[in-house]
Amino acid sequence: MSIYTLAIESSCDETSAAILQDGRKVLANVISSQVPIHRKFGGVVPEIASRHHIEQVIPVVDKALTDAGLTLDEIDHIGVTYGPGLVGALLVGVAAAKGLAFAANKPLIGVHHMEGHIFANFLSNPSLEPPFLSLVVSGGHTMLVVLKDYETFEVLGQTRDDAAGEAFDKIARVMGYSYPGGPAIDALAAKGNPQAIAFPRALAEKGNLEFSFSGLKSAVLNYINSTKMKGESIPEADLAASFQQAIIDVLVDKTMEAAYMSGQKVITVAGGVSANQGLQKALEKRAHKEGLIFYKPGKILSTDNAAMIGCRAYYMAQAGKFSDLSLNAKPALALGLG
Amino acid sequence: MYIGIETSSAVSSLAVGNEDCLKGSLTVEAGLTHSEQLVPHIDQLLKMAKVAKNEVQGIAISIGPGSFTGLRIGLATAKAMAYVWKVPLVGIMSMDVWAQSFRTTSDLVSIMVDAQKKNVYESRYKNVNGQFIRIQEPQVKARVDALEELAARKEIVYLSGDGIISRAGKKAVADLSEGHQLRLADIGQGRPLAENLLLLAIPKFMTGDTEDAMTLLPYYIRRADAEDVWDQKHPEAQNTITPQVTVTEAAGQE
Repeated sequence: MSIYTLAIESSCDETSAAILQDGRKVLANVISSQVPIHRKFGGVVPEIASRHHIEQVIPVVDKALTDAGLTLDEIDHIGVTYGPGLVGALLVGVAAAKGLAFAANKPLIGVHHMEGHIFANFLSNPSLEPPFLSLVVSGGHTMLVVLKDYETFEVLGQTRDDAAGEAFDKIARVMGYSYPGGPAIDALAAKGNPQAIAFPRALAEKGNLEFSFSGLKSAVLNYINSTKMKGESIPEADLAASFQQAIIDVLVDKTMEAAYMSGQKVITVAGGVSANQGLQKALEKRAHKEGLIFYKPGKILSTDNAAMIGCRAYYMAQAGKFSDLSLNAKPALALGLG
Repeated sequence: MYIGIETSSAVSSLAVGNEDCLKGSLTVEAGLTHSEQLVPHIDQLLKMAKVAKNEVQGIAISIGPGSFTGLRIGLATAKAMAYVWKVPLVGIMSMDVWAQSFRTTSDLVSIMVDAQKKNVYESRYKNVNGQFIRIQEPQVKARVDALEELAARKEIVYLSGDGIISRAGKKAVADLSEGHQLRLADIGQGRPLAENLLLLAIPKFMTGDTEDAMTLLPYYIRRADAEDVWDQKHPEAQNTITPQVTVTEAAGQE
């Protein structure tokens, strides 16, 4: 007998519902994306995001069930993202999931969004098993986590200020690229010289697994302003390449240091910034050099989606970690407490 | 049996009943969030009223105006239950629910729901030929303007809604000059009760004037602030097409 999981994700600007078979096989993964709607505002507007979630949440659940060819009766349990994220956005998914769970008499599982991102690696790589080291990089997070077994997360280090994805978005905006700016910087960087401009790499001392990107952000903004003051044109490709290289160097160095310190041999990457081609190539190259196994991320790892939430929910259900119907959204939620 | 859900303000109110009988109701205002208490309260109410889930024929929901988040918690829950049970929804304007407590009065009733920044949504109700009806659609007004307009009428006007029974609302009434006949709702009348919501919704269920879980949406009245700000900064772009969500099936993209 297979186990079927229904999962809902609404923590930011994607409303998604997915159906998984036995935790690892994705039967449906419907994603309603609002990215084009928020573009003109230069970032996600929480109230607008929440309004789209309430419009989309039941239709995406309905489409996921249809696409999977299942009825709600055949579902074993319902997983939902309850944090971290935008509180108004999270509340829509949580309320809908609780309404479904109550009405259909199904167990409910509250899932941590970033734990979902780490578990997306299991969907990309069927042979992957814990333990492994994961670099989690998104617009809201930059952290190094060891997944010791399916239920034990050890956070080795995280950012003191900005997330890596935040720095990408900010610099892209200043350079005139629309939200989300990461892909534009990545494409531009491929054409530039990463050594052209010297930008700082913060907290680079050996053994330090914390990140800081606010100094880099200021250095890039200062460079842009002073170049403009001198009446010179901005070397866009070189600027993008040098900025991106500064982020990649820090991410890769600290990931290798974390692998060394924790004794982990397997490395994965998750979160929105994992789609960055420069980062993927650099991690792959260094891992190979250091004799580590690097699992290259699939597309599913970089977008917010309910399949990853379903994967995490499945393993939580195996461990008996269910939520009751008073489950609330938690906009700031620590990892590993689920 | 029909369930009524009212979460448009800080009050959480639930009722279950049909055209013949109110089986039970549960109204709580104890500072808990709707998110935490709504589904547990529905569960408790159905049990206390001895109504089985499969007896529910429809769900009535207060769709606003009111707290955007409160409206969405109520509506997401109602839509999910209606979807599972395959039963219809009826959306009722929240101010009609507040007004129902006064349905037997012959005086004018003004409902003011908090619209933030000292503004209210105001609608008015009156018994006309034995029918208690809405005689003014909700309008956004400065609370002080709405009050002065009503005070000048020199007739008895009952006031209710969370934009006026609040501390700031009561103070605004007290600050009016002498001679007006404005009467603030007392604690018994000044709450949006789900039994009153059911009273308005049951005739719609009976006549099939219902809505669907896929499509029913909150009645916000106001847009998101960011949209107003953006339009003010970009007057040239008033008539550009608003982008829509894009829906994809990503199974197989692992």
